[in-house]
Amino acid sequence: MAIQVYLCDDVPALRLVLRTVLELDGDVEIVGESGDGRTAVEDLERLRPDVLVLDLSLPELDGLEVLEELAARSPDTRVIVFSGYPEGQLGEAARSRGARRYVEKGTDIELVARYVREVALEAA
Amino acid sequence: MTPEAGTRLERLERAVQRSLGRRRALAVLALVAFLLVFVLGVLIDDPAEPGAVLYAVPVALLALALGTRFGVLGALLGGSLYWVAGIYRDASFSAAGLSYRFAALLILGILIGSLANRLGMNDLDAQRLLELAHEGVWTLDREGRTTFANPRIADLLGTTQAELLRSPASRWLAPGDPFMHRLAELREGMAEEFEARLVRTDGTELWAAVAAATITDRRGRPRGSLALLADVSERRRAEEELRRSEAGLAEAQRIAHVGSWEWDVRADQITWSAELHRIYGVDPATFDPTYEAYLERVHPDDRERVAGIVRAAFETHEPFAFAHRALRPDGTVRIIDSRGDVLVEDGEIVRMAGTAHDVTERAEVEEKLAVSAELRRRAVELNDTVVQRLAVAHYRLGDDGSEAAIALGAALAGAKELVRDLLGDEQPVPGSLRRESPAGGTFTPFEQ
Repeated sequence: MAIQVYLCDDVPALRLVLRTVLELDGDVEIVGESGDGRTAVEDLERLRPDVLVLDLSLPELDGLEVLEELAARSPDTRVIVFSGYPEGQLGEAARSRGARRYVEKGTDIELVARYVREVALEAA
Repeated sequence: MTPEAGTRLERLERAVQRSLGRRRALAVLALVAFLLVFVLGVLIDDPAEPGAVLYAVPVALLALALGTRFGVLGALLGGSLYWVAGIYRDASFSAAGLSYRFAALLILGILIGSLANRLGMNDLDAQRLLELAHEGVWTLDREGRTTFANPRIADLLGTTQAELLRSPASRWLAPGDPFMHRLAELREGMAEEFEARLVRTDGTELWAAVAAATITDRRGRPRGSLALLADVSERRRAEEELRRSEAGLAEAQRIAHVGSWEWDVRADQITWSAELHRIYGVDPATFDPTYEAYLERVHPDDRERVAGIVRAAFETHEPFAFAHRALRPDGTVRIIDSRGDVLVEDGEIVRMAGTAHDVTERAEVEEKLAVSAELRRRAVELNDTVVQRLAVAHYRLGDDGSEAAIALGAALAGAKELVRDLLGDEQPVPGSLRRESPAGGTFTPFEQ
């Protein structure tokens, strides 16, 4: 059964890059995507995906707010933060709110694909 | 001085004078009584008989001691004793002779009683009043020597009546206190009240409310002063503490730029603290702090709102807090944080009181900080956009080692470094990373 992934990033081109890379091997299914935090929260409660790839800097609700909402609305969804902000400054804030991995934008995109498969195997 | 206090003081003055003359008058009267009875004895009966004298002296002294009311009774008793003793001693005494002696002693008793009353020798109530008086009663001669002191004055000064009579009054006066000067300045027949600082025997301070009057001799010549002293040290201490506390409060208000006001609604009397006058830029000497005058000093754009809040407080009796701008007479504007409370008794407002905090400087700093924070937020957002778009380009080009890829990688690293600097040490909180618009825009670098 494919790993169900939701993408939340306000840059459509990055969502496209992620979709392309993640769907390449056929074991990942992108069940939805959005460009702002509020739509993501609503979708996630309904879709309950296995993994969420989440940007932090977002319109409507930011990534930290999405993480807090997620704990109540879809607690089994595991989160990988994919952000332009340095991990040194935002990593702790994201992890303390439930994020499993942190990937800075600009680093190897394959790292996101690897983390998706890793966290999918971890206990919720 | 009130008429009542004057009457009381005069009464005490008379009592003291009577008390002072008592011993001398006693001695004179005892002598007169002795001589009178002796002469009567000689005239009426056998001059050789000493009985008249022996019985007459105790009668006279009894009359003296008991005074007017009991003088006659004393005389009757003494005369009766004399008469009975005469019969017992010598049955042959003629009835006429005994009657003469009896009548003579009776007259003597009445006479002495009457004299004692005139001289006020038996005013036992006055004597007792002096001893029990809560006030200290102190009489001084013109040289400042104590001529009389009741037990209370000794108690107040922490000494004894005997010591007071031995020492000059100046021993218990604080250096520089005008007590003696005030006594010397007294005009005859006039009583005056003032407060004096004295020093107890143990060195502690005694503040006394003094009611003073001159004492005159029988011919009306001044021979000293009478001072009535009440201990007001506690009140003075409380007043001093209140003064200090008020001064401290004014200083605290000045430092904190917090003024206070109080509105006695029943008397329609409003008072402003010194700092409140400073905050509104008005002179306490000329500014009349009425409610209307206060509204005049509120910025015209805030006036209606402020009046509405005060009206609502009148209706709801609830505490209130609001910010408004004050317009000083010189045209400058201050930002004021106001708070107030309403005191209600039996459903009616009796008092409103509150504070006004001049927060102009703080508000200005806060505004600058807010502007600075907003500028920084926009800078972070802008740089984040740059990072995101460079990242897209980076992923599109791929890391193929080309010059373009290397240059792009360096630009991305530089942009991320700038974001790191802009974020600084501030700990991000949920909501602080919210963007006003998406970073992606319509830019789509991939051709489908």
